[in-house]
Amino acid sequence: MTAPPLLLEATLRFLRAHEPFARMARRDLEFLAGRARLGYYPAGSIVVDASGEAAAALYVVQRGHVRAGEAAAGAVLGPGECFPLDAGGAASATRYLATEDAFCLQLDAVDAAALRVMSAPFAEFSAQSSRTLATEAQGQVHRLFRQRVAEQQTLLQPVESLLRRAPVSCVAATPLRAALERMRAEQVGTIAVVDADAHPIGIFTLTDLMERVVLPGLPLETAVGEVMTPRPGAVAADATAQEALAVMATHGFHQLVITRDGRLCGVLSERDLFSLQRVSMQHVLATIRGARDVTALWCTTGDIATLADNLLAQGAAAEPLTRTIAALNDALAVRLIDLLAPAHALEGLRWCWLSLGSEGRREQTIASDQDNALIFSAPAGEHEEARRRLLGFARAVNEALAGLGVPLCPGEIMAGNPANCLSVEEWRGRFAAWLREPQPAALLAANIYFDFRPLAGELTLADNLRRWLTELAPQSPIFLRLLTANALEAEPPLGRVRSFVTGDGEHRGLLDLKAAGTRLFVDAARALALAFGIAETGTAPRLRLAGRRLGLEEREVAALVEAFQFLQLLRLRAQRDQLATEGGAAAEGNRVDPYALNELDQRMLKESLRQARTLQRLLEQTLAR
Amino acid sequence: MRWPWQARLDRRRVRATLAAGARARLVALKRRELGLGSGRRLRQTPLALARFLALDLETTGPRMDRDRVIAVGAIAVAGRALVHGEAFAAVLRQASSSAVDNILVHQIGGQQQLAGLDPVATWLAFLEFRGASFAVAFRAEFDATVLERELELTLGIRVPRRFLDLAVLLPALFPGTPNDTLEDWMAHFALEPIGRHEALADAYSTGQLLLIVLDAAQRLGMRTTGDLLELEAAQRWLGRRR
Repeated sequence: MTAPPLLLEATLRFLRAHEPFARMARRDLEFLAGRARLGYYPAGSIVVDASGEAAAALYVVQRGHVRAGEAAAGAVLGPGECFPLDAGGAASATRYLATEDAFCLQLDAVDAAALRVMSAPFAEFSAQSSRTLATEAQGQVHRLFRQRVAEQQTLLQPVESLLRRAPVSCVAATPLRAALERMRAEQVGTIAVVDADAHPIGIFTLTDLMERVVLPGLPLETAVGEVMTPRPGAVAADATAQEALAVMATHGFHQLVITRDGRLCGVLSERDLFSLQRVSMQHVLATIRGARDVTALWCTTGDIATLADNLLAQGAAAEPLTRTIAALNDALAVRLIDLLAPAHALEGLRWCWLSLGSEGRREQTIASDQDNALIFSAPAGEHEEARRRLLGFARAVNEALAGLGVPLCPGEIMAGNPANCLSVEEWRGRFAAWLREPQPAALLAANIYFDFRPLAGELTLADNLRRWLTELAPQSPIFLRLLTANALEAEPPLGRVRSFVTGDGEHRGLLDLKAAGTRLFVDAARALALAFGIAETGTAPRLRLAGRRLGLEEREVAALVEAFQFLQLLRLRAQRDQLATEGGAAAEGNRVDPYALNELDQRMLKESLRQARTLQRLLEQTLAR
Repeated sequence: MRWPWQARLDRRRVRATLAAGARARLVALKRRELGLGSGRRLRQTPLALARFLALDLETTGPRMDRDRVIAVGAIAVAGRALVHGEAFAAVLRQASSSAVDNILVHQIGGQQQLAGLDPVATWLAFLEFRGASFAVAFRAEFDATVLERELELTLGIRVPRRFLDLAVLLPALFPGTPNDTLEDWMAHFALEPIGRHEALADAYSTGQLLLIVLDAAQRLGMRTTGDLLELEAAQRWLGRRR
């Protein structure tokens, strides 16, 4: 007897909202729905004891929650999640208990086996690698980003929004030499020619220079008006990019003048229209390195964000992505330091710019603020003089960075703060104090200093400090114990009944992906790294090296790293979305409503938080006693 | 004036109109499932082994003495689970489509009603599907009465009334609630129906509630279907709806 359509449809509707069923063929889902039974399991009852042959059956929570294993800490499964073959700790759990009144769809072992044969997605899922799930969630993140990037690049935005700068223009009578000097000073390849009322009457480009001036041998005293391209293609500022592109394509223009009320308000080149789509890492890096002043650097910050979006869309994983963002931000800061240093007479000083916190770990997100410091070396008696000179320079860098969109650190953990502009000896003294007489609260605030990394200047100063610290830290048991206690303070926000524990008051219903997510990994990895004398500052490299020291299997380490990266990816996504919708306040992007995430992300989030718990246990066993 | 034997004569007349194949299936049914004595056996079956039939009928109206069945939905409940592979859904062909307001409630349009399944074949299939199971319905008296009359009119047979009423059992096991309708009880247990105003969807809801009832009854030490019937009788005697 085949099940009536209504029943099949209703069951399919439920199943399709969840993985792996969403990817399964209709025929296979109908097989499942038609042969399933819906069982009722009151709170406290055993749904299945999967030690025997029942292990091969399939259960899908339809309503309520089921806990894997006897321990209160076992994974709690909600609607749509399957067991015993579910990913994530299924191997260890044998009994499944209903933690509240639950209904479960169940498929006999024989039918479940048949389903595995029929349906590739189901078979793959049953192979129960959490890696599959991780990849899937990342795939989804990337699809979403691809969509967003596509939206951003839809050529429906007004051309005005594509203009990067005010137009460079001159009148027709301007001698070529003067016009070219303007162009070089402004670093543009195109100059618009306007009449007395700022109406565009022509355009002159570097290509024109070659063809119409250099090759024919015209003198540079010639008026621009004689060699310009008259009646340039013009579009109004509120026309769409698509229209602009159409005008360019139709008339073979490479540049357009943009007008508002007939007056010049910008020059748009073909490149501007395409650059949105073709921001490459190399291009951005080259632009940053070649920037001649702070204003030019400023133009590249938008490129960094665009590049981050594109990278996500192209399927970059969280680690390479955050590393790329870090590399670009590094390049930006290095270039800025190079640009500003000459004005501050630093000759004869030995200094090194330090990145701290997330910058030091190469884990900046879009909302990261500045965390930096300076280390310097000076002969005895000249410390204060050196500090004074360096501070002026450091403040200028801090402010310029803020101007480039990297917010000032509210906690004043910046090189421009005298407390963070220290000599080699002072830094050692400071770290030694933390190591030998640690105070819990002070240590909490000091966390980010332990992630320092040299950025610019004399890098060996920082390298030596790191070497010194790496040797000293493992021999400081009290410090390590306190560091561990701090790292274990925050618990993963996994609920017993509801999947996630969310905030109260202002942040009601929201989960802080940083404070209650990535930070658990960062803190634990830092404690392990310092205990094992690992010099690395990144959380993922730290975890990999510490995992080796702990004798973890590669698979276990990979699961930890993936969990951390997934949380990072969620943060990046939330921040980008926030920026896109509100044009600011990306810091709030660390908070998300976990229940508003799609099913897959919710499961991945849950799995990632479980991994955080695993890591904390590891840390506890290793260092807390 | 209608004589007492009139009903029996009517049924015989109906049976005479049935095709030979249908009559043979009726005889087999009667021997197998409708036979005497099976009722007692059914009552003594342990709840864990019993097979129930969660049932809902959609009718042309609320009058149980004359309204006809438009649609049947049923699903077997066995081994403490709703068995998807044993579900029954049918829209019956009507001599004339029912009143407009009723069409609006059940969403079964006049055309669909007229195009429905042949009543004789449907009811035979239903009886074979039902087998020797107690039917469970919400406000079972209505469904039982309508079903009995329907079977008399189409197949010319009388079947023993084997019904359990959830509308009585639920308040007996979960007293002191303001719940009144099937929807109330579904909401009470935070359950969502799989569809609206469709016989099978309501039958499915009934089945889910039955699972809860069976669990609660067993916690109270009830062992057999007979125990449930006693509980139902006691609750009726107390005249409690809630």
